[in-house]
Amino acid sequence: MYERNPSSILANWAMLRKIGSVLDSPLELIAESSPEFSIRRFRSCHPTLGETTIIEFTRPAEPVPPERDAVPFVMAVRRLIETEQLVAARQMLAAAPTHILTDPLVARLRSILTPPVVKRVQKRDFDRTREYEWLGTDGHKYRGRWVALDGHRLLGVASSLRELREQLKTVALTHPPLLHRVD
Amino acid sequence: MLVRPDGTEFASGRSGFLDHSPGSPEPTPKIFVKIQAESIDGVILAQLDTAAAWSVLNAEIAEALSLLGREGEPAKISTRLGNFNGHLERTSLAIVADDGESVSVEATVWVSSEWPGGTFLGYGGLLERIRFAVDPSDNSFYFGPM
Repeated sequence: MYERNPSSILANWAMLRKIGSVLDSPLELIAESSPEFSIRRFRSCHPTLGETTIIEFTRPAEPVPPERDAVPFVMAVRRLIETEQLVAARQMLAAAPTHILTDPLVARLRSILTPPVVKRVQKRDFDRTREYEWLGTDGHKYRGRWVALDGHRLLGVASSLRELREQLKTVALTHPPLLHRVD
Repeated sequence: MLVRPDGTEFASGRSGFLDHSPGSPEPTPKIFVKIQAESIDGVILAQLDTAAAWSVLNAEIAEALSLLGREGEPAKISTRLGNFNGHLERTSLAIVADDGESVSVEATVWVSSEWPGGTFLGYGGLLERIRFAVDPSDNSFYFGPM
């Protein structure tokens, strides 16, 4: 594809340059990330006049579906997620070339890495000191189990949260209980 | 509730936090704050972990929120309990206030049916957009939106 479509080379070159501002060795990262492509020779990051940047891909010159373009990109972002580089992963996604934005994997990454959205809500709880006291004095008797507490009152005990919630359906609650698995 | 030096709001809500693992023999100090999730009728304790890249939900809580078995982004975490494969998912949680206003957070959390541990509020994907402060004199956790 790269041999037959110069505009594609330029688009991907632009992508790599953008990624380069985020990573120290983006080409190496992407090449490692994708088993389908390997960059055999990369002569210059800043080609001068008369010097052509040579990027050779081992992939044969057969048509590649557009969504394949997203694979090395997705792998590179995933590598950043694995290494807990959230800011760099977001920067890389922000620099994604437009033609891969509709790729489902890229769309999912963009959604997942969207910064959290925080809003005020009128919901209110109350002082849970009595529940905390109960956990301190009696909690050890229920290790490995889920408990539901209202003040010092034990509303339910169960081996699973699902079971505990079933139990609570039969209890008249005036306000939400504290649910906790005692470790 | 709390204001910044320029007079703008720092925190809109306050809740009491628990400074140790409740009911556990594990003695080291920790900070547990109260959260709520839409489909669970109850308040849950979550441990603050500013060093964690992601927030982590207890597997049974994740199940109750229907977050298991979805096609989230695969992610692996490494913890003192071992390495676990799971998914990153978006969900809505509320940090509930005893005084002032609570906040709801549309956050990214890590979930896995294999996770044997508790619930943690990590910096990435959740705390990174919340101002918070701790007053150990009365175990108050102050928080608010940025």
